[in-house]
Amino acid sequence: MSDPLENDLRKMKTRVPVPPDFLARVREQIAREEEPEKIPQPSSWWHGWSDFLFQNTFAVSSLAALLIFGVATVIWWQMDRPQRVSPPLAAGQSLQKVMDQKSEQSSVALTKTDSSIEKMAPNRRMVTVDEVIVTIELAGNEMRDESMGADSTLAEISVPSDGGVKPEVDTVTAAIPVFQSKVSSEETVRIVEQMARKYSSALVEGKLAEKRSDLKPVGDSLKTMIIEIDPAKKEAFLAALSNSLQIAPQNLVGGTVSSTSGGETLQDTNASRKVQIQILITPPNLIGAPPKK
Amino acid sequence: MDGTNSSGPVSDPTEPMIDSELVRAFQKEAREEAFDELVRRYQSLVINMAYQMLQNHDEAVEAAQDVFVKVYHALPQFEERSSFKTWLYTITRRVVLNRIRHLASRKASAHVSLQHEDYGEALAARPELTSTVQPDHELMSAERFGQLTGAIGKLDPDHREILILREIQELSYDEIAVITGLNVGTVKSRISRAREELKTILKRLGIGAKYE
Repeated sequence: MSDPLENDLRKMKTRVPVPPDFLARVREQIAREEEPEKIPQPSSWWHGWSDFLFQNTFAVSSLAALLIFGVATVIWWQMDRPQRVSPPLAAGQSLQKVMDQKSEQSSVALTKTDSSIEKMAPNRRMVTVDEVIVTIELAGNEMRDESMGADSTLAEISVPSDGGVKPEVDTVTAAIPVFQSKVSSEETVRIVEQMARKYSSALVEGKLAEKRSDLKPVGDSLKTMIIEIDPAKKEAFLAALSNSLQIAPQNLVGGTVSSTSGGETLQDTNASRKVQIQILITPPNLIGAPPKK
Repeated sequence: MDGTNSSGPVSDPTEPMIDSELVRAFQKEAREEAFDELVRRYQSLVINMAYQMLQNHDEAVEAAQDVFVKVYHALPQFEERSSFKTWLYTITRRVVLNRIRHLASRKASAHVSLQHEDYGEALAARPELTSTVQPDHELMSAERFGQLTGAIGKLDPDHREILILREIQELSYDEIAVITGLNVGTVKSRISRAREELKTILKRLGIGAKYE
């Protein structure tokens, strides 16, 4: 190929310019490839986190703000709770109305008809309870007459036996507003729980009639508590109770009463009465350490 | 390029070391400057061969860098069964072919086209391909260089490679056989067919009369 084409092709041999720093580039690439691969060390975990935080400043700060806001909200809710509870039951105020309000306010209503309340009670602590309304319905006049009705104080405030609605069902209602008074919430709760345990135990054991004597101390405790209440509030308390008891039994608990007739029992044919304990607590705070003994 | 016409000696300016001496200096004495001298000696050949095959200056320079990096790492094991230059061309061919495959897989051949029909468009889109290439002397203009480069780019890849090695790099048939792994007879026949194909392409481009 000794023609012009051959000559031109030979001229192309070194016609492409070489970058002046070509050798330096080669050396640099060699050095780069010989550089040991950087493996993340366990001790450098903080550097990784710091890099992450630095590169995601906005997201991290947003999360931190949300966390702070959430914690602040919980703290505020805990501290502000006494101001958001319903005021004490005033004189002449209908218990029914109060109970309706409680229902509307999503109050916690615990309705127990068996021994489960006994299991709950020991673990219940209501340090911040401001108002406790206890409605204890007992089926049968004998229960009231022989156990609690014997107590003068309770007898005075008990539902008239001639309520007229269901003669076989009487209701003994004890409404106990604490009023944030000298009578502590814990003490109130303790007494109520004690009552609940005894009633429930009697029901479960089928020895309700035999346990009537045991209920006497409970009634006395309740009486003592009422007597020891702040005198300045005692009148209002008693007035509220009296006023509340003017309400017909079936209306007293807003239709949640499970009235029973003779012979239809839960567990004990001898008792043949149903005990329903309804505890309305505002605000709800049932979780905590066991009550002080 | 026989390895003795170096542009700069390593130890004695008056007695330039041949390729084998530089290789042994690097292998046994770990003299880095020996490798540098080999780079300076062959960088133009490697870049030009890569350019003719890749037809892109930047790609050619990068490929040449890769070639010398591989030479650096492989040189301690080089046993001189062939000349250093032949060995270097073998590495260059392998690196360039790998780069061609890589570019093809990336479909980035818009301006690094290895397809005959794409080269004209690539040349138009990349005027620097011709502007960065300097003509040897007044007998070969940039225009002529571009025309020939374009024609070579339209060759069948096998023909293009072997024509570059023979007509541009001026390697012997034996050297080409070693580099390509073909026997000498196949090399000769391919070169013959490559020449005919190139002339046909030049005629089609309207510049064939200059080489009649």
